[in-house]
Amino acid sequence: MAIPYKKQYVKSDGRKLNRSGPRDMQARTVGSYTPDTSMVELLTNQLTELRAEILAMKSRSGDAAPAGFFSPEQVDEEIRKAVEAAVAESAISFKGDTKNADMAPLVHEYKKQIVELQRGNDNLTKLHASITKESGNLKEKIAKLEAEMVDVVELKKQIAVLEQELVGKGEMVEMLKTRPAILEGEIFTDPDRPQMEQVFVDPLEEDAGKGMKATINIETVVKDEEVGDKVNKLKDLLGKLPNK
Amino acid sequence: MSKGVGLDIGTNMLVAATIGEEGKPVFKMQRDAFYRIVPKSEVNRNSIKKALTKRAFNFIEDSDGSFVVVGEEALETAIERNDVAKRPLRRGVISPKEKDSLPMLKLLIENLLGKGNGDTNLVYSVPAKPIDGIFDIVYHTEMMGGYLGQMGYRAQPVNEAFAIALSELLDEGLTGICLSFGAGMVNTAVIHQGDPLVEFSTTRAGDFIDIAAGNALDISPSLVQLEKESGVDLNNHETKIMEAVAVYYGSVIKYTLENVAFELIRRKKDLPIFREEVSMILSGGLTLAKGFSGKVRDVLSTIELPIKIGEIKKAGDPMTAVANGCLLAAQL
Repeated sequence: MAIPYKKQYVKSDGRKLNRSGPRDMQARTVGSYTPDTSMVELLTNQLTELRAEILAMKSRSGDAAPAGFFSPEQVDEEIRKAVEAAVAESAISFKGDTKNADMAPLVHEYKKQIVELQRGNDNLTKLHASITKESGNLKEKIAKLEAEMVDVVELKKQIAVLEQELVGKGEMVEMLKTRPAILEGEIFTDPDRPQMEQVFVDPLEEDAGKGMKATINIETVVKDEEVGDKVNKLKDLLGKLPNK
Repeated sequence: MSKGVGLDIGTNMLVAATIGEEGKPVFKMQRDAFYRIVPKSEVNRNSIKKALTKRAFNFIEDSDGSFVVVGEEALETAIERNDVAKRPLRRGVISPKEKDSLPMLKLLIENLLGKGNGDTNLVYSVPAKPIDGIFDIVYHTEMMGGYLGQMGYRAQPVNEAFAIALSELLDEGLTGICLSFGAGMVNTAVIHQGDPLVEFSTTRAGDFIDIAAGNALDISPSLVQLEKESGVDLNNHETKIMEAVAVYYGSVIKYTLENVAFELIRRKKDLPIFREEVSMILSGGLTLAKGFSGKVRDVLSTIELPIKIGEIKKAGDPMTAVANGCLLAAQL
């Protein structure tokens, strides 16, 4: 059924429809077509030949598909193989997912250990840095000590020289000690040298205080202690009074 | 056990120690201060004697007719007459310049001890050589020994601070530092296993406090002394006198301990190495003040000593510790 439409129709936007519909276009195409009969004939002959060849092949190999083509059975076979392969692949993927679920805690644990190891590694890095620094300091100290050791050796040599010089001085000191020497305002002499006897004269007259008459009352206090125990302890510790 | 006698001859107090019947120590104390009253007439003499007897004062009638009030009452009498009591000892020792006092001293000692039988051991305390004054310790030691010999005793001197060690450091093996805060001086001794290594004295003590506080407040040192001996609280002063006394107490404690530190550092090479802390014993009349040990502790925390001080403790009886040490020494 043809669809009538008005020629020279002016649309609402002002355009005029003039010989531009589909049938106008078809008419223009058909009108300009000039069939090439020789070509058509050639192609028709080739088709005929090919059809005859296919039929001959079919008659030789039964249902077998011609070379370069799949038989329906082969296509079916290939599809089945492909489906099986796809199923197998999806099964493996599924198994893998299942295993992943079972391994989750282990993986979590491994991840934690990895974090710990990373931390440990960081610490070791820091330790290494500090040890390197400390090592530098120690090397400096060792260098200083080695320098001081040189000084010590030098001082030992000087001491040895001084000790050598001191030999025989002891006798000289002993000899000098026998001479009077003033020390802190007091004169010390050789203990063997005769010394002035210390004499103390009582400034009181012989009868001083003889006419005195005392009226004195003195209270006594008795302490509740055992003198004997203390004396025994003192004898153990001291024996007798020091002569000082 | 022999019956030796101990005698502490202090500037302010004479303390005799003997052993009683039951083997317990017996102490007799007499303040060695005196005040002479010279009567103007025979009538006056009789009335003075009556008054002294009525007031139960201890006194001596001298051959020249005068009266010598002795002991505690001498201070009271001196204050009544706006005067100062005399002492036979000055800064812990007798002096030929005070020879008028010597008969009184002899009489006071004789009253304390009684006569010896010529064979009785007597150990008496003597001060150590002062580091801040010049006076003759040897003269004092020899004269006292002579007087005690005349009284019938075989007298032997012992250092005052060492006597404290004999009394108070027996449980510490006679190792420690002893300080005797007396009236005339402060005696110090460092003892190691019974060996007195360092002995010295300083001359700022109780009398210094009395004189300094008296000068500061323009009052008699004897009055300051009586007030002081009625009881001092170094952390709580109720009167102006007590306030002044507390101030000078602080000065004496600081001066003494700084000098102890100075002497110990100076004599460091003579001292053994004290590996452990040693006790410090405080004795003498000044230590009776409340808060005394605390003040010593405070000052010690500010100074460095070559010896570590452990316990700081007062002697069992600060007034009799020296005499007790002398008594124990007299038994050896």
